[in-house]
Amino acid sequence: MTNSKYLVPLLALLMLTMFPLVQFFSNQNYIIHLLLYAFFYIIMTSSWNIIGGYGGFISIGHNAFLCVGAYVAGYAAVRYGISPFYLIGLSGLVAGIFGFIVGLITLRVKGPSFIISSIALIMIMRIVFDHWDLVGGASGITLPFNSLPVQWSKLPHYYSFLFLALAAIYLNWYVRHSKFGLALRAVSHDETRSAVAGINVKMIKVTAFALSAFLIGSAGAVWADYLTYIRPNMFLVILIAANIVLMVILGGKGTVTGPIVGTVIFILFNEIILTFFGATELNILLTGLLLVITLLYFPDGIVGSLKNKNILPKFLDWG
Amino acid sequence: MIYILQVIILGLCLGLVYALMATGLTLIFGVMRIVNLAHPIFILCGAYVAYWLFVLYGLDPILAIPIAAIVCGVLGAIVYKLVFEKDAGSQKYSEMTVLLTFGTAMILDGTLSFFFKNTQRVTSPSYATDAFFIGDIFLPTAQLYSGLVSLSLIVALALFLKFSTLGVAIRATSLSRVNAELVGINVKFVCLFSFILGCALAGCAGSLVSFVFSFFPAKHFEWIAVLMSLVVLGGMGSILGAVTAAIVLSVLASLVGAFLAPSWSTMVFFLALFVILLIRPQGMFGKYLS
Amino acid sequence: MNDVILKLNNVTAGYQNGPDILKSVDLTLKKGEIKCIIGPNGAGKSTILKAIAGILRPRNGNVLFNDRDLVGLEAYEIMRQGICFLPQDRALFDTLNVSENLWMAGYTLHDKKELKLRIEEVLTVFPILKKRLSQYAGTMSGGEQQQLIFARAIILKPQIMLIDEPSLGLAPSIVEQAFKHIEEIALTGVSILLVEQNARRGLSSSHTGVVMDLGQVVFEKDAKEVLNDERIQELYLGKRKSK
Repeated sequence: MTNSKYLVPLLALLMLTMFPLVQFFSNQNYIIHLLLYAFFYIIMTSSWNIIGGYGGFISIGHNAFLCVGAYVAGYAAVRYGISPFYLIGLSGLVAGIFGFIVGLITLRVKGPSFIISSIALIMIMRIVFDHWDLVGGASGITLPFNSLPVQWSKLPHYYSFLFLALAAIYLNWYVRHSKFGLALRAVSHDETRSAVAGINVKMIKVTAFALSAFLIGSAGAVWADYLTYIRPNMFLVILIAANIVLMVILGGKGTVTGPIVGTVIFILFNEIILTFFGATELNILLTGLLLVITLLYFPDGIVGSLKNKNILPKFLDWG
Repeated sequence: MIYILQVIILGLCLGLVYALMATGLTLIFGVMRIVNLAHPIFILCGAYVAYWLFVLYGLDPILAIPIAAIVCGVLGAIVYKLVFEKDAGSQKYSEMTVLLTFGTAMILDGTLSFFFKNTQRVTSPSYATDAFFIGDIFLPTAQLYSGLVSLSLIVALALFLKFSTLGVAIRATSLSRVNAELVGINVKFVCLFSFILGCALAGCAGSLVSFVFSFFPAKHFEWIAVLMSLVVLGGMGSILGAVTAAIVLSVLASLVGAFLAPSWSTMVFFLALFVILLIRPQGMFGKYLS
Repeated sequence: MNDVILKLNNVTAGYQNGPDILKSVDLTLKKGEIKCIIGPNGAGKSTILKAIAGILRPRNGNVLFNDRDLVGLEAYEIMRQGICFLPQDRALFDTLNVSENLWMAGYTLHDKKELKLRIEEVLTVFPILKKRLSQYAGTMSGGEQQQLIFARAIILKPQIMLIDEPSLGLAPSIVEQAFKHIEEIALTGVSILLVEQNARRGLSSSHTGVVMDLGQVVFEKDAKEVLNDERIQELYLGKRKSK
């Protein structure tokens, strides 16, 4: 039984790493797309969880950092012809610094004020990007296609996202079990008492925020290349942020595996809805409904609720 | 010079409409400590009620105000019973309820989108294209009417809160739930009543909005940020503060729109919010929520 | 003087999921009686008042007010029965003015003419307030706030007043004034249940004294006897042991 804690994740990882081999036999691009889409959202939810779950700062504007990362990579790709894959680190860094500056301002307030400021951030960026001619304004940037044959064309993104997702999950685990994470959770409970205990409250908060911005920004670079064109209204819409929040809360915020579970379940749920209803406005309705129901009846999320009842499978119990 | 004056007056009229939009939100926050992100979608519901009454029956949007108010009030009561009643008084009240209201907003947004699609709509009563002239100043009738109606509704609300027993009970509850209960106020009833009143005010604002702005379901996301900036700036829970903030920012936004570009004008609201966070981080929020 | 107006049977209570703070407490209060509860911090003194007022719902037992069980009623319903609770933090509405505060105190009174009369009546008892009618309650001095609290308390002519730490954070002269009001109110037939950290001061204005510790009533005696009891003096009144 104890081995299953390591066995199941390792097995899953092995399968995911090997999965693209099926491309030798038949073109499974759609499944690959779904998987990399899931990795992509796991990066975002896990990063969000650092500041939203452990830190208690609920942001409905984290897609701002995705946008920054995507635009850094997109701009460099078009202007200097550098492949976005070389710019993953740089995009992340720029997004991280941007997050650091934003955090210095918005993390001074908490609770509802913070949530509102995160929405305002998206609105401001939307106006700025819509008017910013250097990066194409409202019509955005078109990136060069990659030249790989169609059944291999998604693989660079697949492995980049897989790698980044692992990094995000590891970072989550690290934050959960490190002294830094302990301080962060202390801060989320009571800032004054944490300060009295010798914690540099401001730095802890802002660092956590920048860290999560960094990871999301890195993912933005890959996402920009995957989409091949980027426009402000693809990133700076509240629905993406709402999805992130919903996935984390569905899985269980403040847990290591919660964001993963929430993301996988939500993407499956979304697929089912798309199959039955097609892409309609009902999508946003059902997302809202799921969010309300989760908040009302399982505020601790799936992982949190199972943990409370002591029936959480071992391989999901990473703290 | 005349042009500037003109822009200011137009900003003032719009500011009064924004003020009306913000009062309901402020009322709900003051009493229940709920930051109701669903408020803008209630405004949109009111706008749709006025729109369809006008298109189908030719009813003037100003006369449609009571109907929009009732529809939104009833909707508010249903939402309150289903979503908020269970949660009242729980530990994680404020943060989780913000997400709850957000979910509610998405549900209503999806419903409206499903029925009305993303078509831009605007009610066009006969006076929508008229204008008054005072000297050289040109005053579109629609803006003027909406401003005046908003003003009178806000004054009526203020008088109600100031002088009626229920109004004072609402203010007492917003100061302290426990103390209100100790003088025998049925706090749960006051909460329900305030929520319904707030939503009804959103409905009123919606009717006016229907002929001042063009609207479509996803419009409410923009309003969320605009209205929140007003409420934060005005000092959460203070109706007078929200009204003042609305008028000042709206005039500023009109000036920006006139001299820079119309699409930059909403920036004023969002930047104001950030500036407030920078120079007075506790906002006025700190008073209640720290 | 001997008819029991409030009776606690076996009341057990605690906060949220925490342990029991009150453990099977029995207590009675007679008409016109001033009863002072003393005891160390954490003994459950304030919790008793909260359990009676309905701010905290007892887990077990019943609270009989004129033979009617109050357990399970909402706080505002209990207040409407004729019980008045003055919590530690004063319970004034800081940014309502004095007249609105008085008005709210009579919120449950449906006869508004009667309310006006009673406010007039109360203002003759507390004439200072008459000059302050349009001032915000939060901006008044401690002594004036004190008067407003008692003025508010008697508007509804309650049968029982529950008072939590009337002396907390007040200057000595104002504490004296507060106890004077308490004694006067009791003379009109109101029963008063008092929790007081300053045990000596509380007991000297009371008829009976109750000593509590660890969530239970240790004993109950005539207030003067409690004051003079050597064991009590050592344990709770802070007098040094005489050799």
